[in-house]
Amino acid sequence: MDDKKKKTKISSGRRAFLKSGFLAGSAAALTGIGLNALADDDNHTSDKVKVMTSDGKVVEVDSGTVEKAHSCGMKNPTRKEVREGIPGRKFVMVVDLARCRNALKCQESCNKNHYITGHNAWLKVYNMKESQDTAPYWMPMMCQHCDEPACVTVCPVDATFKRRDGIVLIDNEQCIGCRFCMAACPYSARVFNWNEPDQKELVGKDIEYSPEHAGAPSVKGTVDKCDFCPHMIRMGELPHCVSSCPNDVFLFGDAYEDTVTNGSGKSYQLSKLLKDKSGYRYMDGLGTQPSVFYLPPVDRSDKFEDGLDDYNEFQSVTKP
Amino acid sequence: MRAFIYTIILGFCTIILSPQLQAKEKARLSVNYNKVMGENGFLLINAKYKIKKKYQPVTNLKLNIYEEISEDSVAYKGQVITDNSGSAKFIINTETVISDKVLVFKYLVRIEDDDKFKDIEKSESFYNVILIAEAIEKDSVHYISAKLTDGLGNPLEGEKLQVLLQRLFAPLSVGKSNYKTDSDGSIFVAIEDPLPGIDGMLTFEVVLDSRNYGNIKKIFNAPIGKLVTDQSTFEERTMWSPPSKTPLFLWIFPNIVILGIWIVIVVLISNLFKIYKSNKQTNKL
Amino acid sequence: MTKYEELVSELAPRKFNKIGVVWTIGLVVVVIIGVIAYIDQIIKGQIVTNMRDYVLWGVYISNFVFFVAISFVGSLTAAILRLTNKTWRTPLVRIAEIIAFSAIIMAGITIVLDMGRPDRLLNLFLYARLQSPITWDVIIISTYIAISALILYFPLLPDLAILKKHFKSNAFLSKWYGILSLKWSGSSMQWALQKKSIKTVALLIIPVALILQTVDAWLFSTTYRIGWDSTNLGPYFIAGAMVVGVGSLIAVMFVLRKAYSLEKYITKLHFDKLGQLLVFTCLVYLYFNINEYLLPAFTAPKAEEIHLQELFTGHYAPMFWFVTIGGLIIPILILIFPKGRKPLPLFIVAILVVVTSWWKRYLIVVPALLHPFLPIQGVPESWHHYFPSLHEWAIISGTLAMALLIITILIRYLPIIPIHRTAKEMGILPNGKSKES
Repeated sequence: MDDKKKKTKISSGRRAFLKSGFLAGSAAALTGIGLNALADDDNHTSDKVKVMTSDGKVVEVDSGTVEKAHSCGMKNPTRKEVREGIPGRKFVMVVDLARCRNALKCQESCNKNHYITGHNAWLKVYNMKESQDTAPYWMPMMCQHCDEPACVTVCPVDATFKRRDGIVLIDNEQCIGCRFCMAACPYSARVFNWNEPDQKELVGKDIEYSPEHAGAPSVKGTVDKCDFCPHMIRMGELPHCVSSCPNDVFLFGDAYEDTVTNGSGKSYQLSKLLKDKSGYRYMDGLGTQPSVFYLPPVDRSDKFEDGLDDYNEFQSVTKP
Repeated sequence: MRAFIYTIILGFCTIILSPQLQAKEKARLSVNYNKVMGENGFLLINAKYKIKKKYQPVTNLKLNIYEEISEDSVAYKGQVITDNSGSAKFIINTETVISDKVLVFKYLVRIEDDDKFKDIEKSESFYNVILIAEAIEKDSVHYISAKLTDGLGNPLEGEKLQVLLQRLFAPLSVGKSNYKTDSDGSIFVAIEDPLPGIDGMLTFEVVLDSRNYGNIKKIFNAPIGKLVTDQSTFEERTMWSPPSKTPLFLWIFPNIVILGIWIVIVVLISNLFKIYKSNKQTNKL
Repeated sequence: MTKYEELVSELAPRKFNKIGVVWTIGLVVVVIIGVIAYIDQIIKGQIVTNMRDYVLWGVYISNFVFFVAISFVGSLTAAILRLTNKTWRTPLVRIAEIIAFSAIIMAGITIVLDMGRPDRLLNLFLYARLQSPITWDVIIISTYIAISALILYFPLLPDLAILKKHFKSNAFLSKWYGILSLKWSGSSMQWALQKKSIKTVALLIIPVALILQTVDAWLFSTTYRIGWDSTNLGPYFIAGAMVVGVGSLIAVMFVLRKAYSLEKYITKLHFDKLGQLLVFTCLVYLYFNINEYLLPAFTAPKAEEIHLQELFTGHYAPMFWFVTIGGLIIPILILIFPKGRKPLPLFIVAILVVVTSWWKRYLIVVPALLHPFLPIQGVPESWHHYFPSLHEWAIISGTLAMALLIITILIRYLPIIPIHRTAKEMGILPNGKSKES
């Protein structure tokens, strides 16, 4: 007994760029739905795996239907997909400095899931104090995935690249180790593998390297940095730092969707969040156009001093 | 006297012979009725147990599902097994079960005769409801309109409905955190800010989460989103593009200069060959 | 013996005496030690250096910049001074060209030593991105190597023909001089070609050399780093290259003059002229130094101030003042006076200039890396400092020795002073005339 109300039809304009994507997307969406139907048909539960269809939508399918070739259980994307990125998305991160208390769970999770065994973590929580009279605060800093990346501009061999979805990745099999990108980055975001990385967790594992999962494995004589976890995004999951933070400091999402989600699973409208909390970008004046927004450390949830216990000025990677 | 001794012996044996009973863990079950309108509803079951002060999921646990037909009769409905995260789903086909009289459904989930866990039972009862929702445009403002009725079509007033927009990682709340249904069982939510969506298509969820009715969702698409345009510089020729998209001024001018210089170098080298070839008879220096 | 024959026998390359042999063997030993250290670096990775994530470029890069700077001397003497049309530079031209050629080759080799993955060298050509300053550097260095070789070779042709005749008793040498002289017979056509080619290459080498120094500077000034991000850096490097180029020319010239008793050809006048040139280049360089270091102190933003303080009064102060005073002020003060431009004092000043120039490039590369925008945190304490490791010293010593070795070998087999041209200028050519126009 539904009340039938007139639905007004709003014609969607044609956008050339997304037209082919839409066609591919409908096909993929149908496939996705098809897979979904398959998955939900019977009553025994089986392990579900989230996969991203080629048009950037996430569906859940039986893990048995997906070929495993990657340490996360996903089939590696093609070189073109790696270089172009996930279509129709632009990934951004928001870091709420009002909530950071240097718990360092983000760093632990990043180090663990990227098998970081050097002396320099990719995600560091800085003890920041702009000047003598201003208040100190904790600032998580990682690769900003700039929209005008200085590192990509100076790479002579196209080993680091900027994708359509905003993510900047490194191809460790093409890098010649000149370290010009490290010299160019103003955020000190990159690290170098000065020797053969001692990644014990990867010993014996047959993992196919993909730039989308940096550090698996790390390559001697090349650079590494935060990758915004595309291997997690393709599974519909948030990056490790976001999901492991006990205080919901990080939010991550698609700027085109105007939505970011924190580790607890709560979503916010990005533009509204930045407007209400006066979000900014670090060293915006340099013109690199970073994709990471910071919310100022106002109305702090915790005292700065509480984080000093875990602060080690000379260590960011714990050795076993 | 004999009876007394037999009782003691029986009790003793029970205690000795049932170390399993004592060693059996106590599992905690949570059962929730979930339904997405247009699909079959299901019981979402989660089993966990406490070990070393932390909760761990119970995997591979057989659970028997019963439906309570009347106060003293239950019908066995089937069995499910929990997965790696301790969850299991049992699909209930309420469409075929609707009748004018029976409005309440009660299901029982039991652990029975399990080696590791004690027998327990958890029940979940729910009323069948119908939730409809759609997007409407009125005076060039978009609204989400939803109506909640029971299985017989009577409106349900005062229930909290959430309006959510599906997004990549987790849904985004539209408007307030929840809206109460009016005497008509309806809510009418205005969409103030334009919401972007691929191809302008948005997928909304209107969710009722209540103890009486379970977790009911109505998912629907509405082409009322703001079109998303690719603002990346990926297609452009920039200083940070791959070699295939080098900026034109870098292609043209440096290459002209380099080519010019190297043409001269090649000419000079050819002069060396000319000198070599032009060995004339005279040996005068 | 005619005057001409006397000239030839004086200027023809001679066998090394004991000192020469010891010198050469010494250089070879240093090179071998460097190669061993480099092999160790390949095996273990660049962890054997003291470079880490913050000081990501160290002496390998500063050494590379040093070599590029020295290579400027070829264009300076062979081309720029050529515009003045003075004949006093004739004895110096070949030495300068040899130094330049050796330096630019070593620059190309030195930069490969800094690569983390030298096995992927070809990627620089297969996947080259024109947007990258390193690609510009690869192109311009290759170009300069070709041009330096040409500007060395063309003027050599007549001399090689002379040497072929001079060494006719030595079958091996005679044969090879003959081959390398490209059957030079002195015909008018050959002269015309040679003259035109030299004119062309001398003209071409000037812009190429200027581009080379500028692109080298742009490796630093295309970044955001304080101390590197300077609009001054291009001309600054050009001026610096002139200083170290002239300094190294004077130093080598002095040694060769003594070793081969060339006082007749390389006279006090030459030292005086080069001394004047060195003063001039030092003054220009001083001007650029004032612009680079003194002026920012006027309204220094915080980050600049920290950088300048490090150099003026901080950790790098001793090195900075040694380089500035020893490498600029003292040379200027000494060389303004004619007495200071006598061969021996000039030689000492030139050595000082070359040594301080090497440390100057160290000061350009390293301090800026130790104050990035974000504080250095989360890394071991040793990463807050840098001094080259033994491996780095061994490897760069190997490169410096190799550069000297190349110069030594070329000096051994090529006439240091252009024979034909000197003879022509002295008017003592055989037959009184030649087909040379």
